[in-house]
Amino acid sequence: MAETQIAPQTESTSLFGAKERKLLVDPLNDDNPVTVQILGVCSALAVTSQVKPALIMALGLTIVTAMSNLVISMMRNSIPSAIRMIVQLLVVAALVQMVSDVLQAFIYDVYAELSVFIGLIITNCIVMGRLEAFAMANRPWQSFIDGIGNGLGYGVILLLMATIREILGKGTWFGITILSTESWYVPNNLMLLPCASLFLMGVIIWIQRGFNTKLIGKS
Amino acid sequence: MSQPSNAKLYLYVLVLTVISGAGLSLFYNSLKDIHADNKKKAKKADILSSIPELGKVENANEVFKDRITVLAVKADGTILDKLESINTADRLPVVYKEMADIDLALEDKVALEKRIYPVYQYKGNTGQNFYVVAVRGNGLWDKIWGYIALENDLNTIAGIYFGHKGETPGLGAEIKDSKTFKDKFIKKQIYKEGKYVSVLVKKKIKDKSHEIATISGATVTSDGVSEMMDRGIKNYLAYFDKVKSSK
Repeated sequence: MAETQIAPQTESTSLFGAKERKLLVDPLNDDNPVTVQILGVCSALAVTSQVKPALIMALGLTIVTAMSNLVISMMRNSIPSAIRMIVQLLVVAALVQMVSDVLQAFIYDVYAELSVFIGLIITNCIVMGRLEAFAMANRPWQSFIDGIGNGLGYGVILLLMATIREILGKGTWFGITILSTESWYVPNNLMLLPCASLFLMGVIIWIQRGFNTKLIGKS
Repeated sequence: MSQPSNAKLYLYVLVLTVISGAGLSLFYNSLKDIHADNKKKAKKADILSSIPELGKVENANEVFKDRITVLAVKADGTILDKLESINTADRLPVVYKEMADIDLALEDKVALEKRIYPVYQYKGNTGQNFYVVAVRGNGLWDKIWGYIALENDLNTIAGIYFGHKGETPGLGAEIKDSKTFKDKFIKKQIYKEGKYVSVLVKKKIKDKSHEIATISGATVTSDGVSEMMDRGIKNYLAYFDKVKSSK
């Protein structure tokens, strides 16, 4: 598992300077949490049989990663290192519960669709990984941006995998028919099984490293 | 940097736990009533979604109030249509505020012979009436449930809704998400030559009037649906006989 340890930053004059842009863009490719850091793989395999739950999971994780990074970064100087992971887990669990409560109150349809996945966010190692690797050593604003960037990087891979699996496995994308299963297309049920996501992720990592030579040899 | 003493660590965790616990509690309490209203409305929308002529209902509370009459029945066919007759001392701790609140999950806490099962009688615009019955069972991971709308003959399935707590998306969760799966139940009959047979979910279909195909990759959930339908509808058979004999 390769986690990027970024050195504490010095004072920046701009809220959205080159460093912040790098924090936002790098996780989309060069430092992708799933395909490069190999974090959050379990949920990436579990929720990608359809695009809609994959999108909702990605949004939920982005919110929780960004907010937990922000809170932990604000508290970082007061957290005793011996219990830092307990504190991080407490903050993440509280945030996940709050996200769940808000969804349940104001977007009940989405909550009903999502409820099984919301709890999974607590166990997603991207959240804890970014808290340990970044938020504990950096200022709140940069930590918040890092959380957004990593959430988006996770989301890109989830959506890519879900798109391929839903189209080949069911002939649909977001529930809209793309390949007509009633006329010529025979759905490939293998794509809906968990094993399909495993070899699909291998293919995505292979293609990504084929195009992005900076990643070759990176561990 | 020297480590703080254990006492300080315990104190730190304790304070943080109390603060986050109190914060979450306050947060939840401020939204509790909205959660309860949403849950009730969603249940009514689920029940209405089994009615074929309605489709997706936005104003579920209003439509439910206008079109649905809720009854409670016992497995022996006894009909209870008043709150006082179901909120009795021998059925504690289950107490309902209105008939629409009757919940099979809560009924599990009541002794088997005292359990009640809800019937939602729907009166349509065109004179077409439906009887919606509730069923509840087990999927692969957790509970599954359903609302089955029967035509006036109390034999033919007119529409169906399935819900689940935690089935796998794309596999077991298809019992709720797949319109194709639910549509397979329509026009199937629960009686064969006057004998109750339910509608079963099977890998190999022998009787097209009473069996439908399982979902690929979701055999356990499909079996759960089959068992839930069979066992759940049985609780209403005495009531059905009573209604048929009164017609």
